[in-house]
Amino acid sequence: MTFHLGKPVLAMMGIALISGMLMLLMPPAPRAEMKVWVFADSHSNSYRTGINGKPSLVEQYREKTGVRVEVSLIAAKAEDVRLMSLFSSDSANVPDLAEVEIGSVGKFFIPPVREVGFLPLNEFLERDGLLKKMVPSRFAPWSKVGVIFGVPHDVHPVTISYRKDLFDEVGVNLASAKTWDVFQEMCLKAQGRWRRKGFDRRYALEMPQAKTDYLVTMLLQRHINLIDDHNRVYLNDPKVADTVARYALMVEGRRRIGTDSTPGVSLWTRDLANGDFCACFTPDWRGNYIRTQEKGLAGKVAMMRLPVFEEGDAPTGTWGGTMMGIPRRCHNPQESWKLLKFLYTTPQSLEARLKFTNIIPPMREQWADPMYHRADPFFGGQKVDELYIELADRIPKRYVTPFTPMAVKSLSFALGRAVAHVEDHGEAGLREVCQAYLDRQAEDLKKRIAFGTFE
Amino acid sequence: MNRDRWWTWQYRYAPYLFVLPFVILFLGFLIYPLAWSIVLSFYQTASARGQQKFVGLDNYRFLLGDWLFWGAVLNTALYTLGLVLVQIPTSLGLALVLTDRRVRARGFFRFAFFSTYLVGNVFVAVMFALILSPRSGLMNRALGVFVGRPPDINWLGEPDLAMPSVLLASLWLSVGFG
Repeated sequence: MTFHLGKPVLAMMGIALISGMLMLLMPPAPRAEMKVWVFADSHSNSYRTGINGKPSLVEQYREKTGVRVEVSLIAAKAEDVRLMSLFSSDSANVPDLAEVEIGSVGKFFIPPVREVGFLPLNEFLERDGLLKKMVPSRFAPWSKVGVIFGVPHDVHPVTISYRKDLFDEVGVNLASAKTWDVFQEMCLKAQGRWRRKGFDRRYALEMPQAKTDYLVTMLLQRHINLIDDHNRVYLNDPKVADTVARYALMVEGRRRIGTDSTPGVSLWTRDLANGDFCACFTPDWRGNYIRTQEKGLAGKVAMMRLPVFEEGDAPTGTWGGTMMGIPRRCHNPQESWKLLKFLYTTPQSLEARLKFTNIIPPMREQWADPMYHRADPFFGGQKVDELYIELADRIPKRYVTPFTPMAVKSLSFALGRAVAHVEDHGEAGLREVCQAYLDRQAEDLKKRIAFGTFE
Repeated sequence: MNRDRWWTWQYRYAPYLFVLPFVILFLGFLIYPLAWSIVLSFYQTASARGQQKFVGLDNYRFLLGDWLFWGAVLNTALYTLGLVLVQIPTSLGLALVLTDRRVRARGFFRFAFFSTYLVGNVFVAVMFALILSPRSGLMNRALGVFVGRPPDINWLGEPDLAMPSVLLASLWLSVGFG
């Protein structure tokens, strides 16, 4: 037999035909009645994977209600784009629930409140008493002018984890530092002693020169959001200029105590293990990274509250976060709410959380679980989860608006200026330079807000 | 249709049929969205549920008065100029050297210089972020050999050094191909 396009093409056509027929004959997978979109691997595992011989959370939900749930793990960026497109086109082809990361949520709040793609949840939360049961300040990032669009998955209070062995070696009790000034002094003392022992490049604290995660956490300690949920700008508040100046003096100049970590996913834990820096900010998720990735540090690390700048500051901040929201056009909001509550607030969900993420939940009553009150051998027997829980109720409100990323960028520019000033001129005139720059940036930000607000 | 007319028909229309799939995709996924974005740029709108408000050239006026926009234009121009001015002579020089019969193992060097082009942009970004990192980066460690102690230069964080650093990464990627 001959085939005028040749045998390879014939073979390919044959394979396509056979595989196509097989696909047609295969029974279709049972269709889920509800769809949940998540972006985090650990969250997806906690919903989809069985726990201690028991079925997974979604299986348990099916057994309880007869509703089949499909959890899709989608890359955060892709999920953002899809949700934005679906909301912008007013499509009904939305998931029943979607998790969104704190850095992405601002753009969903661009439209006026009545047109935001997520459903307002105030009534649901009030009806089921969750507003009182959860940490109240944790609703702030997911709200616009008081309307709540998401249920928090976490609290993420921030502590400092430090190499107790290395600080003990040079006779410095870091945990006794209650203010940032004292903390800096102690770090300088430790660095001096390390230098004498030959550790020329060892710094006390991981503290990036250009990134602003630490700086934003410090501002939250001082109860400052660069923009609040009513789009009021606090970028040029004198406390911001003061914090930027003090931060710059910690990362540059003769009183420097901070250094950048190695870029790349979680390479910073290696730096801590190597003793390149000996302390770092640890929200609960970061604490878990150290515990799981640097097993050799067991017994060598300890945890402390954040020092404060002045009286009235919070001994913690918050870093990172996730919410679960119900798209406004989902097919049955009541059913979505039922599933959301099952995934976030039930004892079964706590069991899954403890197994897969160990992140402190925002539901206060779940903090009574004995798991959160055990001594942690990794942290030298310290009850670190108890410390996180104590701080969880004290986290300052953090707002996220469509303009927050722009404000953070301006803060980053200001930090760059401040660091350059310290490098060239030291501390002289630093605060004035910071204030003047932030004043200009705040004016610019206000113009952008006025132009991009759709109320 | 007899055989001659069939061939004439094919001769006349076959080119159009061949380009048709591309034209349909091009119109559907590039031209239409592009045209629609131009139309939308004259409106102010926040969501599908909201009203569209015609604002004329307001969006363009805001853009042209935005220092961040002009900063981005300047950076793009500097990057393009820097890349073209350095890459073309370097690539040409490399090509001349690697075609010279006196150079031994030319095949190996050709492969070595071209191979950088085979890796993805993401790979290059991650690799250079590590090479240029202030504390543990190879660049600072290599400089340390000459000055006695690795300096703490923040190649990607210092405003004056960021552009040359990005150019360096781009050159590494494309010089063997350009």
